[in-house]
Amino acid sequence: MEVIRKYKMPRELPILLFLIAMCAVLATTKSTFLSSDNLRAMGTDAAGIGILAVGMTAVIITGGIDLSVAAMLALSALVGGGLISGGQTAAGCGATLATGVACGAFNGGLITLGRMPPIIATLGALYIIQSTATLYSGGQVVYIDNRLSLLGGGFVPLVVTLMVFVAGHVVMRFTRLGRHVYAIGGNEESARLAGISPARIKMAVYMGAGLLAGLAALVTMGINNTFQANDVSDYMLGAIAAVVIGGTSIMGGEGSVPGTMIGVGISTVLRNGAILVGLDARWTQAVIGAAIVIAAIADRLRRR
Amino acid sequence: MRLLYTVKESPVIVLCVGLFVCFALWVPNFVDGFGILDDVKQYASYAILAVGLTLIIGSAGIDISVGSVLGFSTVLFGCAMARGAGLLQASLLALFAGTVWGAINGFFVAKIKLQPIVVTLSSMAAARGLAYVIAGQGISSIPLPASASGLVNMTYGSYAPLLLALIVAVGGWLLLAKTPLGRYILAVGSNEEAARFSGIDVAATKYSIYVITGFLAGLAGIVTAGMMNTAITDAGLGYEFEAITAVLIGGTSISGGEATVLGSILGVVAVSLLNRGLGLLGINDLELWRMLCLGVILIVSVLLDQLRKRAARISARAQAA
Repeated sequence: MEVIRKYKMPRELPILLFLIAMCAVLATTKSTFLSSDNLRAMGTDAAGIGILAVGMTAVIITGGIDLSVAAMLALSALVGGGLISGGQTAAGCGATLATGVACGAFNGGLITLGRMPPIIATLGALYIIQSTATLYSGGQVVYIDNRLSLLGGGFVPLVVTLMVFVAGHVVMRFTRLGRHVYAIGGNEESARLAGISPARIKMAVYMGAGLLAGLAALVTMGINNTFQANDVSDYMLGAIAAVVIGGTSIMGGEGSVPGTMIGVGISTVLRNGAILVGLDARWTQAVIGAAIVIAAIADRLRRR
Repeated sequence: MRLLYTVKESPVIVLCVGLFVCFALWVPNFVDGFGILDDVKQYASYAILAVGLTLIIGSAGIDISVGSVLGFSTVLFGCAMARGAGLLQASLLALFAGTVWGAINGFFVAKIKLQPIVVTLSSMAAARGLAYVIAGQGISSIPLPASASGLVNMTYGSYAPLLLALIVAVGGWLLLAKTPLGRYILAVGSNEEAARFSGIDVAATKYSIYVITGFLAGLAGIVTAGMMNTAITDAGLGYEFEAITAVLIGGTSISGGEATVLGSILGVVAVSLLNRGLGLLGINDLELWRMLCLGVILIVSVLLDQLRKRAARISARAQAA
C-alpha cells in the first residue's frame, strides 16, 4: 500500500485512459477504425490543429492566450503559398515560416512592450491578421502544384506533428526556457524577482507560437495542395479545446505538451468516431463542447 | 483637460466624435439622420449583447458563448413559429432557452468554479451544434411564417430595436450604478477574495449575471430573427468577439472591477459609424477593411486607456502632494 500511495498519478493518466477506451470501443465495433486508410485520415485531420496546439500550450502555460493562431496560419500560408505557386518553393517555405514568426512578434510586442492583456492583444491581432490575409490574397485560392506533396502525403503529416510534439515536450520539460515558461505562469512577480525576464520569455513563446503556425501552414498546404483564407477558421477553437481537454490550466503555470497531444487525440477520434458510427456530423460540435467541460471538471476533482 | 483622463469613457467619446467628423468631411451623404439611425439599428442586437457582456467583464469574467446562444434562440424561435406556435409563445420559448444557457454557464462558473473562458468556450460549441441539430439536416435558414409579421414589421420596419436596445442599456446602467448587485459585480471583479470577506455572496452574484446575459442573448436572438425575417442557423456567428470589442473600446477593463454600460453602447455606436462610413465609401471587401479597422481601434483604444490611467495616477499623486 505504501508503495502505491507514494506513486504520484500523472495528471495525464485519466484522459489517456479515456482516449484508449474510446479507441478500444471503436476498434471492436468498427473494423474500419484501425484500417490504414482511416488512421492516415485521422493523422491528416489532427496535423494542423495539433501543431498549433503545441504553441498554444506554451502560451496558455504562461497564463496568456492566443486567439490569432488560425489567422497567423492563414496569412503565412497565403504569403508563402504565393511564392511556392510561382515556383520558388524554398523561398516560399522560408517566407511562410518568417511570416508566422513576424505575426508572433507582433503579438509578443503588444503584450510585453504595450503591456496589453493577451486576450485583447491577440483579439486585435486576429482581426488585423485575418483581414490582411484575405485582402492580400484577394479571396483567391492559392494552388501550389504539388510542390509540397512531400509534406502532405501518407503518414507524413502525422509524423511531422508527432515530431513537433516531441520537440515541444523537450523544450518545455528539459530546457531553461521551458522551466521559465512554467515559472512566469505560476507567479510572474516571483519569477521576475528570481531574475527571470518575463518580457523576454513571453516574446519567445508568442514568436514560437507564430513559427508553429507557419509550420502548420506548410503542412496544411501540403495536405490540401490549395489554400484559401477561411479554410482554417475553426482551428483556433480546436487548438484551445485540445489544450484544455489535455489538462493545461487556463490560469497558467500548469500543464504539459503530452496532455495536449492526448487532447488532440481525443478531439480527432471524437470527430472520426462520429463519422464511423454514422452519428450526424452536426452533433460533433455539441459533443466536443461537452468533452471540454468534462475535462475541466475532472481536472478540478483531481486537484482536490 | 482633466476630464480627458478622469472620465473613463473619454477615449471612446473621442473615437466616436473623430469617426463622425472624419466621415462627415470626406464621405458624401454620410450626414443623414435617418440613414445613420438605420445603420445603427443594424447593431441593436450587438448593443443588447454588449450590455450583458459589460456586467460579465466587469466581474472579471468572460462569455464567448453569447453569439451561439443568440443563434440557438433564433433557430428555436424560427422552428416554433414554423410549427404553428404563436408569436408570444415562440418569443417566450426563445427567451427561456437563452436564460437556460445562461444558467448553465452560471452554474459551471459560480458553483463548480470552472474558468469562465473554458465554460463558455464549450457552451459556444454546444449551443451552435444544437442549433444545427434542431434546425434539421442541411437546413441553414427557416423562413418566418406570416404569423410573425407583427415582429417583422416592428423590427425590420420601425426603430423599435433601437428603442429596445436603449431600454436594455438604461436597465444595465441602473443595475450597475444604482443597485447593490451592481456594486457586488464590481467588487467581485476588482477583488473576489475581498468581496467574499466583506460578506458578498460571490457565487450568487456571478450566477445572476450569466443568467441575465443569457436572457439578453435570447432577446437579441428574437430581434435578429425579426430583422432578417428568417431564422438562420449561423445567426450571431462571431458576434461575441465584436460585442467584446465594443465593450473593451468603451473603457470596461478586461481585468474586471471597472465597467461602463454607456461606454459599451458608445463602443457599439463607434463600430456602426465605422461600418456606415466604410460602406458609403464604396470600397470592395468592406467586411475585411472593417475587421482591419476594428483590430487597430481595439489595440489603440486599450493602449490609450492605459495612458489615461497613468495620467490619472500622476495627477492624483500631484494632488496628494
